[in-house]
Amino acid sequence: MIIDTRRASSKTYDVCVIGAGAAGITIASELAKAKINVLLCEGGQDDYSEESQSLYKGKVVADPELDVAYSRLRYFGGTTNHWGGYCRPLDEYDFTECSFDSSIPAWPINKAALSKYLGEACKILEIKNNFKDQELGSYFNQVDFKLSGPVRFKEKYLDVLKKSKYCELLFNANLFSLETGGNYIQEATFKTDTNKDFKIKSKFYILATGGMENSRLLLWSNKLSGGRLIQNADTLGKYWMSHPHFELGRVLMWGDKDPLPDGLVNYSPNKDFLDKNKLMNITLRVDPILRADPIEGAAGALTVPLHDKDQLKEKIATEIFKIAPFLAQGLLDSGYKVFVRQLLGIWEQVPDPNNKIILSDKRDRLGMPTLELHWRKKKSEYRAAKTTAYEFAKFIAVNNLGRVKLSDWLINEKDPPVDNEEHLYGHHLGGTRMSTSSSSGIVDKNCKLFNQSNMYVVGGSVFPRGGHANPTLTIVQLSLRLADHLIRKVKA
Amino acid sequence: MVKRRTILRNMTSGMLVLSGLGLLNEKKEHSKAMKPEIVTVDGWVLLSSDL
Repeated sequence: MIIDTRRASSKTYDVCVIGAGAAGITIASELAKAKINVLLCEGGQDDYSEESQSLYKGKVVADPELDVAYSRLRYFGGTTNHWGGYCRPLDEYDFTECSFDSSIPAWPINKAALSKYLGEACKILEIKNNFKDQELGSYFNQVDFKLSGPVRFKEKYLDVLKKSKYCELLFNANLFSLETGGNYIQEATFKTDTNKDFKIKSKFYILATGGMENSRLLLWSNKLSGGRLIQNADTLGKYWMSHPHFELGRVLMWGDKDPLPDGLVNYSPNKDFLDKNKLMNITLRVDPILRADPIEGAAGALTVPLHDKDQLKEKIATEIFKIAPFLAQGLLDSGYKVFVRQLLGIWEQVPDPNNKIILSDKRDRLGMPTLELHWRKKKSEYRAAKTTAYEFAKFIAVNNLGRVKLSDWLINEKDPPVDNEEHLYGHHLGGTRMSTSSSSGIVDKNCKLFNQSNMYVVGGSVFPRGGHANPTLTIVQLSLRLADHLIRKVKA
Repeated sequence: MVKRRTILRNMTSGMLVLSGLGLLNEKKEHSKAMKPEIVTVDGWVLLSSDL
């Protein structure tokens, strides 16, 4: 049921979950099913409001500067209210220590620790649990991504949790600080949207406010506690990562019929290729985004303005047929239809302590410092994209599957064009990373805060490495695992 | 070298149909006799036999 602050403050819960996005809702739902008394706190309400969203305002120091509020939604369901639905578990390789850079850590758990929860996570996200990758030559795999509905957690769980006997929902509950008695969280202070304080007591607390707010809230609470909350905070807010998305080129394909009739297809280099070339993981996505109009697609492949059909004709004749006349003649002789696809690269970033969330000197209207995200991409990331795209282009050509035209920025060793930056911000990883030691991370293998016996953090912020897969499925797996852990703890 | 070119759009299927292109036959025969290698021209990653 939905409750008010007076009722919430009058009780001691088994578990207080802070944040009602994919992670928080998954955990609250699982705990309620196990008949554990849980309070689910949401800073916003059950629908979007500018007033709530404005609390996400902050500064980004990046190349170029971007809106930190973009790609996040501050109401029940969180980012699942607008996510795209792409799902894939992390690769085995993503959990391991990097073979060529010892500063890149392994996860303190292996893939099997999360695989146990894959089936249930797939049910939650309404996708089939039959991920099958196929080897493609010596260096690549065709990798399987599933597309969720996408499931909107608000639509799926709000009414269910309202009716739950064991889960109480509290809206306009904005976490302000966590009070520690040394190694135990005694209570949490929240503020209403009208800036009134109230306290929540619980046996266990879970912070699940997303890949930026988890860091911000812990940085602020730790500051208020004089460093007692997180005694070794060297890595707090640091090693923040995303999955940069950029167009790497266009793929010209042909056949009697569409060679990729099922839509987009994803490829990824195997471990041998990554280790040999000292590269982080990457997805190459051949996207039929241009399929709706093959003429315009062909124009795009040739970097012609899409609206200019006269120029298109001229460019087709004077570029590809001039550059590769025998390829063109072969196509004409065969009578094949020609298709043009976009080649996207979506890559893993090297964890870098200089990419970080810090507290700014500005305050939001509830009195908490706004966040400042420092995030810059490295030239080495572009080398990874180029190396992989070029190898892929060679594979495509040698096997006569098509031909690839690599983007100018990639060929000329330039930064990607700024107008592609809109793709950059969807995935928020790191900042409170999981580790074997408090000297290199913020939470242990069970997502528990080091030095605090009853405080957990979950979400993209605990990823030590990001892999190349969209993170939501992994976040739901981690949440199910944490719920399982807490059910055992509460019932012990 | 391209001597003649036309591009027809198949409005029914929406696919791009390319036709009517004449090419220098002697260059094609020369290219066929060689083992194709990867070449990059203006960003296109091609086989030498394409050229």
